[in-house]
Amino acid sequence: MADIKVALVGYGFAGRLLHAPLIRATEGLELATVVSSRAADVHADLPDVAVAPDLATALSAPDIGLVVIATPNALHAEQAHAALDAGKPVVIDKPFTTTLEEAENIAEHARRAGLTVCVFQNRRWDAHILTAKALLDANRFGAVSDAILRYDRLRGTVPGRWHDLDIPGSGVWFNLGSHLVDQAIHLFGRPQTISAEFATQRPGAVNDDYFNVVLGYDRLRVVLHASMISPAPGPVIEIQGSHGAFVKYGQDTQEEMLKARRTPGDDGWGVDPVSGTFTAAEGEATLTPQLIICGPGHYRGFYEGMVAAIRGEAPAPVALEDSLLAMRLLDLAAKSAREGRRLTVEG
Amino acid sequence: MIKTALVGYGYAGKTIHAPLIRAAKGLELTTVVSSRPADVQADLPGVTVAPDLTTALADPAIELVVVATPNDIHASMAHEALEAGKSVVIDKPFALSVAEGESVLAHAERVGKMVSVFHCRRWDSNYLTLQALRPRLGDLYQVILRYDRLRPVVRNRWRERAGPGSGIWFDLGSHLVDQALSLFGWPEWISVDITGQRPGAQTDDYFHATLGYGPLRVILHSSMMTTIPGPALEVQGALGAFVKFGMDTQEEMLKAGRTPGDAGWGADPVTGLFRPVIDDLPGPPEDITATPGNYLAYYEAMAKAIRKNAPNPVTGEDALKVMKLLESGFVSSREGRRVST
Repeated sequence: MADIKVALVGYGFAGRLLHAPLIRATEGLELATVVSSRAADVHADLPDVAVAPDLATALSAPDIGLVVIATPNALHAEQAHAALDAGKPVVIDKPFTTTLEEAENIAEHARRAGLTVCVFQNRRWDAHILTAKALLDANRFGAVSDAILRYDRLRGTVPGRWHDLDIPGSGVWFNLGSHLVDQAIHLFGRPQTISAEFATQRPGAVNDDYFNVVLGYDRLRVVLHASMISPAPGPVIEIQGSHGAFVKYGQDTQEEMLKARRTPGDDGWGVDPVSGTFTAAEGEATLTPQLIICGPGHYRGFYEGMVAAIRGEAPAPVALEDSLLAMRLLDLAAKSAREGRRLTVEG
Repeated sequence: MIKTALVGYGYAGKTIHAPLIRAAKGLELTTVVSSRPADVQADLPGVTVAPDLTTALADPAIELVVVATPNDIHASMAHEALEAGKSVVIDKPFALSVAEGESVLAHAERVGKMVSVFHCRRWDSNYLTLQALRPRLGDLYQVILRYDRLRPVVRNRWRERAGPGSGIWFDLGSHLVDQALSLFGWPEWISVDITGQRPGAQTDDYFHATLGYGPLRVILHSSMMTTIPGPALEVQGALGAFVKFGMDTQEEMLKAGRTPGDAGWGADPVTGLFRPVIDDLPGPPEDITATPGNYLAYYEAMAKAIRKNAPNPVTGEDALKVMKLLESGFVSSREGRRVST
């Protein structure tokens, strides 16, 4: 079967360090075109790839079979509509768009056009999320009562990337919260309530750079938490249930590997050197903790799923309903934090 | 010696207060008010057992009354003791409501007697260790205080039954709220989620609270379904972070029948971890040996407060602030909103 030719739109941090290498390492995909105003940068990295000055030029090529949008969040919607109008399936970097309404319009457009739109929620393929999902699917926790997903960093200085500016789609909640919200949906489904506290903690920060968000599911509580002033980061995941608990420190290694220019899929790819711990409980007694080697992380799993979806062999690797729900939760959390109220997740 | 009457010989009276009072310099446990005299006499052969508080208060030699009854009768016991001209220690939480607490404090002022609330966890190893380390942490941005347990089955005791003063927000939340207030002062607002998670739960057994102080967020968290407890203390600051697992050991030592103040008392075998910030990056971790916990300090300070006019170790005003935040927490959780304090 011929490879699907891909146009990558945007060659900033996400385009250059995440999408381009993952697309190039995925069987069934060929990175044919990059849309960028910095042609020299692209050519230096990718000598065999065409550079288009704008999206329209890239879309006019009839052999492009997938458009990947890795531009700042505020441009996602307009570019996704243009790609759909041109009859191309679309991958959009997370978060989907800057508002729920924009996301719903894109979903409607995709349905009308009969094309796949999928949001790049790569962190479902984090080592610890793959392992947590497997443990949940194997019913190792019994009734889950508490889960905490954290994304702690030590970034005491505000670096001045667009995420840090006061523009739509900026801020830590949109940037990192979108990962954690999707992980919560992936692991636990749709919550009934949401309650959020945001803060702007760092001197010079203009956006939220801290969040603590509680998702309520009947008796279960899922806490999403991030702070940029964490010299000692907490666990990335903690799941407590009636039959056992799982705790894991240390972020997935793939982003660091990509920054170090390693090739996805090479020897040792996605290997996570920090083991998690699973401890089973019997009543009030805890059994001997077991070390669990997580993962390995596998971001290419997303693009492998896209190939299968475009070929009609499988549903999209991240269901559009999940991404619409994630957008709704991102919006509701911002509203909850602004108004200081717990909100019901309708529908 | 200050002759002391202990009211209530349930878990707190028997395991916590009686041994601490007996070991504290300057105090003498002379009377226990209990409906189970045989239990008391078996444990404390030299101590008088009174069938009710009125009988105990009739003894003019008694100077201090320690109220370790269920929460719903703290206030009435305290009023009765004050009326008899005694100083009063009340087990935490102070009372059922701010109004009850205020009326006890007004009464104390009227009769010129001292009221103190046993917020012993200011003398936890974790708390004392953090206080000593605090200058090395710089401006603080987030603090998480956790009280996690694995108690998946609801027990038939007043703390876990429906009714006024029961539940984990009152029982354990009062410890964490007091620690937060004494470390960081009065917050601008509080936002709390309080719920019952366990099958058959009749009262709350989970809470997650955020206290807002400018850019600082202090999170108080407790669950009874925790197989792998989180750190009891996590403090993230501009100059460094401090993380400490494991609870203070004194309650377990008391349960094991050890005498407060004996060799090794309050020693905490779990070292904490200090992580400095060096050039904007996390520096090498440093083990921090925990300061031993010392609940005796509370009662010895109480003795000095009565005899030598020393400061009250936990004032009624401090305990009233805890009550105010506990009440605001219930409002916040019930109405699903952040409450300005």
